Amino acid sequence: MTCEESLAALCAGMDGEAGREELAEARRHIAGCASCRAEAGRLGKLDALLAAERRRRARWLAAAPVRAGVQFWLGPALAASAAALFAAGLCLERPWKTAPRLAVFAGEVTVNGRPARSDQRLPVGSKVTVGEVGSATLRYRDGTQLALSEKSELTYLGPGRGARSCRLAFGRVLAKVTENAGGLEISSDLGRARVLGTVFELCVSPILAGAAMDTPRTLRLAVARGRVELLLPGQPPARQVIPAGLAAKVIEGLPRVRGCEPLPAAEWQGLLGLDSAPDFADARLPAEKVPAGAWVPRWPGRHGPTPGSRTCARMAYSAELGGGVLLESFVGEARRRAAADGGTWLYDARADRWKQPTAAVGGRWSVTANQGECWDSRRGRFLCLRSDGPDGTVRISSRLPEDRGLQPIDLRSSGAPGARDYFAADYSPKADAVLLYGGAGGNSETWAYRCAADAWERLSPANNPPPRERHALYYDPSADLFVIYGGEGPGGVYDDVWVFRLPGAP
Amino acid sequence: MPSGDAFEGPKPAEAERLLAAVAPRLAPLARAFARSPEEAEDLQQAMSLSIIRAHGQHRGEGAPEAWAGRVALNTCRVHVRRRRLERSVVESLAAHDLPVPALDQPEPGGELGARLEEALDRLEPRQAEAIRLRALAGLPCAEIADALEMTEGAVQQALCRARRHLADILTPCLEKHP
Repeated sequence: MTCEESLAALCAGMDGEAGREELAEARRHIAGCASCRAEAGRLGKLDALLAAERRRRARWLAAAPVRAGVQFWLGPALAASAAALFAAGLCLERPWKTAPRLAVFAGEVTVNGRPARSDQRLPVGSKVTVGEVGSATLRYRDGTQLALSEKSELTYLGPGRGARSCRLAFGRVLAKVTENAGGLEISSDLGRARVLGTVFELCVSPILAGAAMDTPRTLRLAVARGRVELLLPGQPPARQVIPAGLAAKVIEGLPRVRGCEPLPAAEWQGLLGLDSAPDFADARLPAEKVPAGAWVPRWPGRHGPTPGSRTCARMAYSAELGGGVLLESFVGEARRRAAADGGTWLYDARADRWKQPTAAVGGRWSVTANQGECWDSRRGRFLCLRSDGPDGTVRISSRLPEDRGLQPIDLRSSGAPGARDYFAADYSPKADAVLLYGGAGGNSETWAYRCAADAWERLSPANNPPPRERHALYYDPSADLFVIYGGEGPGGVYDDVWVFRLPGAP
Repeated sequence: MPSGDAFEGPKPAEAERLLAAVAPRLAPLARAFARSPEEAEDLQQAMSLSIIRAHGQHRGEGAPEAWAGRVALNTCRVHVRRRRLERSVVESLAAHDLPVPALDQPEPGGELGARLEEALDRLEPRQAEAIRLRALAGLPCAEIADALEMTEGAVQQALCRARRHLADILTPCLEKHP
């Protein structure tokens, strides 16, 4: 027997495919051949390694047997659209491929007709039904949530190839989609909502099956954040993109969007989980009519594309370009650095519009970074804000431009804000004050530092943006407004813009 | 643009019955081709979906279970190809100092498994499939021959070559783990 034949017989023996005599002859050869002995030793170790790996993997899927009751409804067209999504998006992250879990539920909740269990994983085809009383939340691994209200039925259709798919038979679902590369599709027989990084609510009536026959069924889509594409069945199918702040309605038998109205303030507040109700009508106020002393939400999404949800954002005003330039930002909760963002996005506070200037961005910046410095143009000095005063309070100090590298001089400010990280602040020469907002730990405080009086003042605005940290804040002198954009907080990563006009000193 | 009829579809009980019949074979396949428990779950679901989606294309040639097994194996092949593509894209992004998206990380304690996966990626595809099916899924050579449409002799040859090649690639690892 040659060396090759012996090793082949040894391998066949490992697979249980070699005869006894053949194996014995191979062993005799190996015992007398040094190179074959070494090779056989390595193959034996490899076999042990493979067996150990197989034992390790045997634990996988142990708790999740495949269900037979998979419901088939995904048509070839949907599969094709999902494939196109994948191809177009270069979807390297595939969090949507993980099945959701029924994380939170209360009341009458069943999965495939059986009582729901806590933290139950939902395989493809699972039908979650919420009865007359109750609610249920499906949670994906990346944080995306689908909250089902009472009298609702939703079927998890699987990961698809580019989006996670669910079907809402009837009822109401509030979706909070984490910003990432994956999409989400919720379909019903009246239409299909396709989203990426957003908060929206889809409601399909009648709430209960068996409503009066002459009542046309309706679908209502309310978008609180981001943009949602609504696809309606028909030949050709209708498609409409619904921006944040609008609610669209579809009536059975009329395959087109009927009306697209601003969300009522209370509903918008409820969808985003805000503490106070911002008047959404304010979002359309011209910049010059923004009242002093109140944070006012803006609505740039109605004019065109926006940068979407960003965190760790830094913005600075550029007089040359006439707006706040997004210098740096990160996308999603994973804080992936947004590619080539330096100067790509520009927010025009007067027009409430995001732009993408092509001109090169240069000049001197009043940099508003986390706990960073802002430029006191009246006195020609930098103001440095650090949360390293007594008990972590915010300490403000000044430094002249030529003193770079030297220790800043502490100002004798009193009543400083308490300890906080990741706040943002900027200086307004008109008010001669620094405005500070937010910070880590769900902070939504607004503070002003009056330079002339060298004193801090805590403000009580009529509206507050959702608590946030790692957001951008800059002062726009052309509109006399402080602008907040993005950041992250209890509601996830934000894409909203808020403005504030600082009232004069008391 | 998807057509309107995409919203409704048949609900073939036959497909469900077939899936129930082949379900016990999907888990070993998923374990053999995935790198983590989560990925195995995803892959198992992807195989189920592929079988259900392709059910209408089965023309009655051969046993439906064998056909479903081939569909499942094809899904695993697509999965491995996509994973390889992802890695090459990530490597080229990193080479150009561009932002790199996060890929799935091996689970704690699975470093040896991760090394093995890297080594398997460097084998000839047929050899890699054969060794996955034999050593990680535990299929007998006859079933592997059916699945890969090879003779049993060819499967044994591929397995032997795969083992020797793997041993070459993993030599430092094998020396460290006696």
